[in-house]
Amino acid sequence: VTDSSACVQWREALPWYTAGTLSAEVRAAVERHLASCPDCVRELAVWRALARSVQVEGRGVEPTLSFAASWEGLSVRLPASVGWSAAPRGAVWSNLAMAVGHLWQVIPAQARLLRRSVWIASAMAIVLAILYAATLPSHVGEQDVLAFALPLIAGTGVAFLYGPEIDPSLELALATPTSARAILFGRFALLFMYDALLALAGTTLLSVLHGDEFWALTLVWLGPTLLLSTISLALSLLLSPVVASGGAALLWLSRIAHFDNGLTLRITPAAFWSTTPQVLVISVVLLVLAVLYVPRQVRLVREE
Amino acid sequence: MPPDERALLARIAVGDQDALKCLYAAYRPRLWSYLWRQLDRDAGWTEEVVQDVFLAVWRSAKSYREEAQVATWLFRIAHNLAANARRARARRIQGQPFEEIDEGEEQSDMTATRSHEEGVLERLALAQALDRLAPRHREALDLAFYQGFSLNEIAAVLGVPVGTVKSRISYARRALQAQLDQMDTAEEQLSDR
Repeated sequence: VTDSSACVQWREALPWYTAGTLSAEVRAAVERHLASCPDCVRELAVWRALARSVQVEGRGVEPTLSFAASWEGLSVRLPASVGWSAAPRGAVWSNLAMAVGHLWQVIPAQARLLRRSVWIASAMAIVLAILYAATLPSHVGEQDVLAFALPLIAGTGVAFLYGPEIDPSLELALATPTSARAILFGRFALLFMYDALLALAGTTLLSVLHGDEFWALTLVWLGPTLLLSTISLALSLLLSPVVASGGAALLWLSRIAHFDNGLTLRITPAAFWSTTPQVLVISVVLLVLAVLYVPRQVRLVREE
Repeated sequence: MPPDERALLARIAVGDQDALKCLYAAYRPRLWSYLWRQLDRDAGWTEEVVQDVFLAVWRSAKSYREEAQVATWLFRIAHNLAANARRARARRIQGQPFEEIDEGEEQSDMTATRSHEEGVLERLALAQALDRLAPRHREALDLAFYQGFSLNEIAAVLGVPVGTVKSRISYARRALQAQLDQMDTAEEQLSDR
């Protein structure tokens, strides 16, 4: 007498035995079991009937279009798939409009692909930083908190935008007609805008509460945030997200001279870490280089 | 032949259209059959999405990391594009979700074994029952028994854990059994009258 509960593991293997996709070793084990279990032999017959039915149905399905006609249709579409460079020469504005339109579609689509924790952690950290700054007296420390926290938060988030280590769907995302450059730029733009909008809302709140000038308060963090974000992005592409977040944090923390009273952070003044045209230009150059470089990054394209 | 297919992909990655044509000729029939069932048996729609798969291949051959067989990679792209296409059409037509049937609704008896191996009528009944399966269960059966993918390969194509593939296959089997039992009951009731 065969105990059917003992057959559970064999029953699981029967569809794959039927399909012929088991390893030789497992296949032999299944056959040994079948030799002594009439219940499983009956079950196998059901799977075989099912498999045969699927195969008969499958064989009846053939393309309606001839191969030649289908290939012609595909080959006509090929140039369009390699990007905007296929547009006629000289059509600079047309190319630009297509690029902007394309990014307009790519950016919202990337929102769903980014880790939820990136959104939540960034928002929580920014809110905490703003709340902490709000508790400090006007003109005493609040600027330092913004200048310290906001770039660090944005830079850390940006480090985790892209890469097979943090994005299991990357290979799939790359297997779509959307270019790696558009994906990277879309994600960066999305997260940076998200962080910047939250930071702007917080800055507005602080300027109302403390009577500070909104624009002056914004300039304290805007340039450093953009610069640290682009440095972090470049590091994450070149090395890895973890190195990028750590590297950006170290670079940023190295600027702290000392803690005052254990609460207020004093940041050494440095022209490099302020909102100046030079800083903005360096940031944009870093971003452009990162976006141009991404399809050539071996780590992202071919991992073995 | 996997090594040849990888060589084809390497040529496609540098813009060789002849290599793409070879791969297209090799895989179009299989992908067409797979997608036709995923796309409501709409030949025009299927043709379009099959071409989309190869556009994606043309665009992203460089990103193929040789972790999977070429066939698995292609079907993974096809599965993804078919899901997107169905989702887009569902949104456009009526705003309905495209995966309407929840796994685990069916609780028919797994041990209710009965051989349906013999007889044309029974085979026809099985074909009818197959047609009524939810797309994702039908898809799993198709990938296993017609496309010849292993359990792990199907998991890679569908982007789900191995356990989910097992449960889909097993669910499909139970659902078919339940449908066949229903048909038998209906026939018996008719013959009793």
